[in-house]
Amino acid sequence: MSSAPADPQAAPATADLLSAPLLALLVDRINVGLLTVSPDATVLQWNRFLEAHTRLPPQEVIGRNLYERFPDLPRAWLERKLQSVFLLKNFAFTSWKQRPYLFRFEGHRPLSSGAEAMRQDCAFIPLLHDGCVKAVSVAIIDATEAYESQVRLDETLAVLAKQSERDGLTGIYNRRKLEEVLAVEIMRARRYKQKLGLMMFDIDHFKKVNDTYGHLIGDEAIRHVATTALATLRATDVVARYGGEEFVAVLPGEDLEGATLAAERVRAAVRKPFDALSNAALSVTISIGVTSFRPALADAKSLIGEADRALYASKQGGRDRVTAFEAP
Amino acid sequence: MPLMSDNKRDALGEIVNIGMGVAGSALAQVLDAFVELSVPSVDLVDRRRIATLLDTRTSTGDELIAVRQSFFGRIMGESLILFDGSEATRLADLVGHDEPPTVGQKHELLLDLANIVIGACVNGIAEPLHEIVSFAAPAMLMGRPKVCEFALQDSGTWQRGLVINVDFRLEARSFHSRVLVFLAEQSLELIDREISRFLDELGAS
Repeated sequence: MSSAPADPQAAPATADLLSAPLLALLVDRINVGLLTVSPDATVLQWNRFLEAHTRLPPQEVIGRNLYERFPDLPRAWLERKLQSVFLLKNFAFTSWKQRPYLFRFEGHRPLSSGAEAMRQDCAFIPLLHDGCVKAVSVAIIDATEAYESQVRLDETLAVLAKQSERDGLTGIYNRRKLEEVLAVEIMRARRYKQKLGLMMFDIDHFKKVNDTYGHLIGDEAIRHVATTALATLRATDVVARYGGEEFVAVLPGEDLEGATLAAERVRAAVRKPFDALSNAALSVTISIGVTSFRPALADAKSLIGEADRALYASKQGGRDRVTAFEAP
Repeated sequence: MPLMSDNKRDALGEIVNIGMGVAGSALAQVLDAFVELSVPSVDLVDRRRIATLLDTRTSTGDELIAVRQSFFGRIMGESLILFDGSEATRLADLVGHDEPPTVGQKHELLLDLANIVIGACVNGIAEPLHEIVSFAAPAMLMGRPKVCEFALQDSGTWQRGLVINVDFRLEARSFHSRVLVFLAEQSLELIDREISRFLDELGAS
């Protein structure tokens, strides 16, 4: 097989293949909105993408003044933007993140998008010829997909942030969040010489509840204690699930006496029967240990340690009772 | 001969300086304020040194905002403009909002300003070399960690590059920022050649 040297006359040059009409067709059909304006804001180009979304054919737009044809456009801003491109001979951009859209296109994704209008990224392209900008083309790019991803990402992050501080079973704060809150409250109490009460409680004979009624009912009992404590205490108090059937409540502004009274209210409310899954009214009791912050205390750990010891005393004393920690 | 010798870097600095003069007057028209651009410094830096360079050239203010923008053509690279957070807020004056601008408006304003300044600086480099560059959309980097982390994404495609540093100042508003233009290794050969040509032309005339 012999290979003949390329003959420039034999085949059309590639540039000829993409003739001016084809090029015009490409500009018209490309899935990007193309709007071209002259220095006096006359529309020179309006492609099919824009026609489809505005339902305005080119003959109703081309040759007209941009701002008169589209009075809803943010004129002052857009004029400044175009002006900078003509003057500086430089690209300019807008992002959907700051400006959702240039033209409002509704309902272009009726099934798959929650966005009420197409989100748009715009690139302002200077059409330079002989060292001067003859016209500026605005490429309008559909950024709805990026917008949707961002919305989903934000939602997921919000859920994750919530989950990372909440207990899955009860919905109240978990131990991690409690430790965070307690550290802040201790700092506040120390700095502003405020009172701070703390109670630790757990369900009496919880193993027996599980063994007798099953784990589902056990879960119900945990949920009952959590919601009752939350409802009984003040909105400024923080209730958290500390471990299995163990809870801690932080009571800002309460001294030992106040915290003990609050604990009594929780104890009394919890022991009332509640509806478990099997319809049968069930009741559980809790034992509580109470303590309060003193400046001499080292940290959150020692405060929880005191409440834990008081809780142990309640258990020893026969359960279903409140014991206040006695400082040595 | 190694690419971008001291001589050629000096020459590039001079060439870019001419471009900055043009850029400065165009910026002044658009921003309606007296604009001052410093004499650009040109450094050839190693990949591993970029991050430290960025760090030492970064303002000491706690709050740091940067806008990055890439450009492409026969010379390509990426540019970064660094704002002090509090100064960026003061910039709201520039557009003459009657009401305090929203966060979105502030960001848009910064992106616009960054795009204009970076565009002027990059064109100030490209035009004297008779190069045409196009730009990608600018993006914001909020906070010092984000800004410093920006230069640490190691794509491994280059070992060294040119860093051109320009200080940008709006006199009346006592606003200033720093513009860094990174020209990647792929562009160095071309720039080197163009500077040789430029110097030859100067010598011939």
